[in-house]
Amino acid sequence: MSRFDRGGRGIEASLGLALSLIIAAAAAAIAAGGSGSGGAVAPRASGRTADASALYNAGTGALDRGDLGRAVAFLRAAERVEPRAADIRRNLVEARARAAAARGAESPGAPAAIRLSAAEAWWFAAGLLLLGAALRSVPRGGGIVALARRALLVAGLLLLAWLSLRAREEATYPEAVVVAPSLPAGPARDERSRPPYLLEAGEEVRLGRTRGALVEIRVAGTPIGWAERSGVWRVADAPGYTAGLPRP
Amino acid sequence: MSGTGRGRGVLARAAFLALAVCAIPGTSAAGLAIDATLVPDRITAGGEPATLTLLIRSSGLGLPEAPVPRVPGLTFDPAGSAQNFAMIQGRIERSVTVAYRVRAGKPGRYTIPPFRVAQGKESAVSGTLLLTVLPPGASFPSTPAPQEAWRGGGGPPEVFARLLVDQDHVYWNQEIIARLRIYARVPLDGAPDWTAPETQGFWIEDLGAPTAGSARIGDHVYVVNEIRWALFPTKTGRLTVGPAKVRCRINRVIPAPDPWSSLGFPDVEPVDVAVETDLVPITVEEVPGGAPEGYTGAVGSYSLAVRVDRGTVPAGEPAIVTTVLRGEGNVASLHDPEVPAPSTVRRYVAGASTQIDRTGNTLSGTRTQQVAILADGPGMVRVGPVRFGWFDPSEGRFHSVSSESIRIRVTPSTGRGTAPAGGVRAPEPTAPPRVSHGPVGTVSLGPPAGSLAVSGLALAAYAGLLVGTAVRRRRARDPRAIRRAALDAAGRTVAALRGRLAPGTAEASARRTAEALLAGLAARYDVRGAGLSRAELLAGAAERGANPTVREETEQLLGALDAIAYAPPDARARDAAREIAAAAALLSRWREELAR
Repeated sequence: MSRFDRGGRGIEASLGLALSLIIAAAAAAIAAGGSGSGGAVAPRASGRTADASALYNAGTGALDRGDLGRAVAFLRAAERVEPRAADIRRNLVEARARAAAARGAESPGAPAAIRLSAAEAWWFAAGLLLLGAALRSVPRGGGIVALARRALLVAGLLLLAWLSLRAREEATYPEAVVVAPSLPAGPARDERSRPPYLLEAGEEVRLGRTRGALVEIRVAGTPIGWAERSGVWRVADAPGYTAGLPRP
Repeated sequence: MSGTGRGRGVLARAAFLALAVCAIPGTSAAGLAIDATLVPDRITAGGEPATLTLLIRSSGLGLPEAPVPRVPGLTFDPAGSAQNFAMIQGRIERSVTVAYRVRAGKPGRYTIPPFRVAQGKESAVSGTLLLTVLPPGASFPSTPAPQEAWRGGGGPPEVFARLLVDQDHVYWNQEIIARLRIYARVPLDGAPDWTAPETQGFWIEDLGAPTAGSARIGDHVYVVNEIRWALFPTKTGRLTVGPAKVRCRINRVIPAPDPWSSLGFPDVEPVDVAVETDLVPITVEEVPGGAPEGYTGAVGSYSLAVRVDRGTVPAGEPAIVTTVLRGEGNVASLHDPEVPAPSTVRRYVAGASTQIDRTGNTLSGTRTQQVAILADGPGMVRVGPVRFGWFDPSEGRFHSVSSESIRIRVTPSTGRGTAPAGGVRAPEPTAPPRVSHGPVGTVSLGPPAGSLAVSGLALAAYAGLLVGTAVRRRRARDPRAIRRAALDAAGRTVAALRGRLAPGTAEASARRTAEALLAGLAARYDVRGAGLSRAELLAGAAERGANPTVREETEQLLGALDAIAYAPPDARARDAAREIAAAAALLSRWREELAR
């Protein structure tokens, strides 16, 4: 290749190399995490992963026993792993409905049928961004290509932002389920005295600060009082409670 | 209003009055005249002053002054003056308007003697004025003058406000309806802006939407806007409500000062007006003694309802007792009635809500409270009776109601959730358990590390591509890069000709090499070569820095390439190869020179 040919190719070559590296990295990462919601592998008792079937069976068993708080907690955790499973959705709706009926409230509606797990949503956002970058590297893209790549970029960024906010809220105020039959949430000792709120099994709340054996209960973004920590389970901790239960 | 602003206002009113007087036929017929007006003619001692306006007119250039008379008990402070000069029916007429603020220290009726002016043989005298001074805090029952703030054209005020209450002697926490009425007899520019009356010592609630109507006062019809509030005194004694403040903009009609200005049509000027109501005294008494059991401070008219969501409840599950208070009064401040329960059960407030109805003539509403009753063991739990007492101010006595006792049967715990509460919902069959493992995934909502890496890399690549595109575009617009590209093209052409050289194509190759060489020369020295002859191109290159050696070398090489056509056929290819190689070398040298 003469020096005349080398002039404008450097940047293209380096960008092509970068894209190749990205695609390779994405493929490797997808391959490594491919069993996130699809493969049937043995459950692990610890770590961040959980067996959806073990959670589902634990939740179904609790539902059959009438332990609505634990049923909702287990099934919510199972739904996070396998959000489109019909049996998990069905039993979760039933557990919520029974819990609502027990406290005289209206049954919550069924969740949307088309749902992604958190991991799938994160990968979906990454895929949108990757596709947008790939379209950006098309040298002679027309108007449709330009529009598509911008749409992909914006959609990917918005999805990333929403997922980040959701993950941040979960890290700050984790979702939890009341598992005690009734759980009073009242003011702390140094707070103004007021009647406690009475939470019942199966109610879904968020947790705030902790103080000894007490944890702050939040409903609709507002702290309503402090309750015994043993009366609520964080959804993310539910897999840890399946250790002593029978396996599928 | 600031002092300056108030002074301007007084002067504006005085000027307006003066213009109005000038417009009256006959008043300018005399050579010298004086008019005196006093607005308002009733004030309070130590309160807002009255405005005395003197208008002195003279049909000539001279204009006498009117001395201010001495009236014991009254003070006259100058508030400004304005002069006017007009041609009326061929005569020159001068006028001066002088305004004074008149204050009185003591109540009484004061007579302001006539003002006299004299000029030459002419003299004029004004009428006698009467000023009534009331004690401080006194009201003016027969006229809305105390609330007025603007009298653009004299007469009754154009805009004023009143604050009214339905009763001025009430019990503690008894409802008082306060009405702010804004009267306007001139068109308002937009809706008036009001401030709720000051209500220190009262609980205040809005009552309904503002309403509009009309009222006749004297000879004038006023548009009346009314805003209502419900007030509940929170302490006893002598309290005051108000003042309420109103700001609005009126379209003031200004008569033409003389027949020639604006063709005699009046001007319309928007004027901002601020008015304020008087203070309204309210006497608040304590609620009398002898309150019944269940009285927690409610005043008004109420009813109580108590219900329980189920009569049988498993141990450990709550039964919800709901108390509903309905009535008229300060519902928002009601204390929920006590729900008595045995000490063996636990009792929690499960919820409470207040609904207030502001649409009626009085404030009414509903206060609902849910109390959860929890028994840990089976048995019969007796809840209540729930008692509620209130004071009815219309009857001047207390009332009390009491519910029946509620019996709740607590059954042994049979396992939560197996039976629906109240039989409202039958359980649906559940999906069966699974027999296989998996799938396995994360319960966390955080991002997988791989997806984060891919997202980051994709964004970095996108950014890199954007930067690369920007660099390419910038380079494409660089003139030096364009010249380098042209030299590259000439070099590629010559290299191709050199590779394809054959005996039969030597002459054509030499000609095309010469053309490429000239194009390269033009690019090297930035000569616009289109349409130029070879000599012009060489001359242009010389002008742009080509030294004589380059020019001579190029001319020689071009001559040699031209001579290929005349070379013997057997030597033509060899000579062409030599000269094309020389041309390629020259182009390469120019490319390197340009790259430096």
